[in-house]
Formats: sequence, C-alpha cells, structure tokens
Amino acid sequence: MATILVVDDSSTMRRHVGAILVRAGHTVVDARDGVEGLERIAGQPLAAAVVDLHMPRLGGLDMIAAVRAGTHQPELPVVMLTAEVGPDAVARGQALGVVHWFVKPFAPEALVEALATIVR
Amino acid sequence: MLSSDSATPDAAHTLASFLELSAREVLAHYGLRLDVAGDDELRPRLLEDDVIAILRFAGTGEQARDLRGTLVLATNAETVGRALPDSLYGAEGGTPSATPPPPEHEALDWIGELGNQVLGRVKERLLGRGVGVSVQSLETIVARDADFGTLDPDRTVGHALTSPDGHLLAWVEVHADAPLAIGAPDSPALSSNRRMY
Repeated sequence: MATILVVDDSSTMRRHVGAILVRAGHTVVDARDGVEGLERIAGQPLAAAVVDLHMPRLGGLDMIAAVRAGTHQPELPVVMLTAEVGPDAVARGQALGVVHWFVKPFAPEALVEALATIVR
Repeated sequence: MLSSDSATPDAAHTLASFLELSAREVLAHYGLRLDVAGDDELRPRLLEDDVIAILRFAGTGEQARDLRGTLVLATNAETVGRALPDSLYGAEGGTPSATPPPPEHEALDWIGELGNQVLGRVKERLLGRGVGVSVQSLETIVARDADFGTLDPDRTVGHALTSPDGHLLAWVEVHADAPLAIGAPDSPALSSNRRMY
C-alpha cells in the first residue's frame, strides 16, 4: 500500500503503531526522534509520517519545521500522535500543515482510517 | 499521593481527582483497572524490582508560574506486561495473561509512556481550569536504584491508586509557592479516540 514513517521515542509505541499499520497493509520505517526522522525522510520516498511531539534531541514539531524548510519531501503529510494537547503546540502543528492531531491513547482503527484517506 | 504544601486544600483535592480520573482512563484503555488505595496502602510501598516513571512538571502562565510537581507511576514488569497494547500480542495469537513479562528495558519504556499519557490528561484537565503545565523531565528507573526520601507521608493528603490487576501505585506531589486556585474537581470523561483536528 504505502510506506509510512513512525517517529516516537518509545520503542513500545513504535512497535504498537508499526504493528497496526503493517496489518493495514502498509510498509513501516521508524525513527526514535526527530533527528533520525529527518534521516529517514532524506533516505527514501514516504507516503506519510506519524510523529510524536516530545522526543529527545529533536521534537516532532521542530522536525516537521525542518522538513517544510528543506528539500527532502517538504510536503510530506504528517499525522501527530501525542499526549500533548496544549493550544500553542496544536496551533503550531496546524501552521506547519499537520493533517491530523491524534491524542494518546488512541483508537487504532481511527489512525488507520485517517492514513487511508491521506495515502489514497 | 498529593502533597498540599502551599497549594490550597481545594486545589490538592482537585489535583488528586484529576490524577485518579486520568490514570483510570489511560490504564483502562490498556486493560488495567484502578482502585483507590486503602488507608494501609497510603504510604507508597515499592518492591525491589518495581519499574517507576517519574515525571516532573511545572506551571506556565501567570496563575501557575510557582507550581511544580511530580507524578509517579510504579509497578512491576508483570503488570506492565498486562498493559501492553493488544497489537503486540495479536501477531503471535497470544494474550496478556499468557505472555511472559516483558524484559526490564521494555517495561521501563512502557511505564514511561503510560506516565506521559496520564500526565497529558492531567494537563488537559488543568488547562480547562486555566492552569497551564509543561513537562520538565521524564525519568524511568528501577526501584532498587531509587531514593524516595522526599515522599513524606506526614506531609501528604489525598489518595494513592492501586490496581486489582497487579501491583501498581500512582501518586502525585504538588508544590506551589503561592495559593493555587483550581476550583471544583468535577471533570468530564475524556474518550480514548480523540483528535484535535
């Protein structure tokens, strides 16, 4: 179906989201922070990214800002998956073109459905 | 548990209520029930192999600039194993009860993530009362490496949470240099399937 990047500093959450997306027919690559996320984005074509917010080294929104300002897949569709609901962060996500902002814990089917409309 | 310190008693009560509600919602999503601890369980009793998430937070904005606190979740690998997401069992056809406890590094990872999700909901509820909070640090440790000397039960009020599904403790300490007004503890439930947009 599509290759989707999962960026989260929790290895368990990466496995969780990865398992959900693989069962939905996608190929998954993952990264444990924004720095690795940028490396993955530079390294191969991706259909979308599922990104956590608070991570060491480089957080999700700063990673997206770097993608938008860069030359590697600057229009990559991004879905945020985070426990953060602060209005400043949410507004910044919208300004950076984040397609959906999911709040953890999340319903797997809702994430799959949202990604299906993005990568269609 | 919740230290009233300089937070008003009402604020302490409301924060304890937010912790309980938020922890119940998050852990229920992953299959763990929570009870309010009995009087004999109010003093946190850690076991040597407990895995612990310690999240430190601080207030933001004018109303809460002096607020600081710590949320702690403590459990063991077996209980964490019961709270792993279903997706991690389905591929092998297993179930939480039939699956061995995760290795220590994985248990630490997941208790940290659970703590982050619980605090996220506490933050959301506080935000609804006009109190902003940001996470300062998340640390995960094993109890044998822990020093909980700051947890003084004589200075705490509120309640601890335990689980009938396994060994689990949750408590929060809050300190405010100035009285903190939050209001009544009533708070609507937050579902497990939410998106901001």
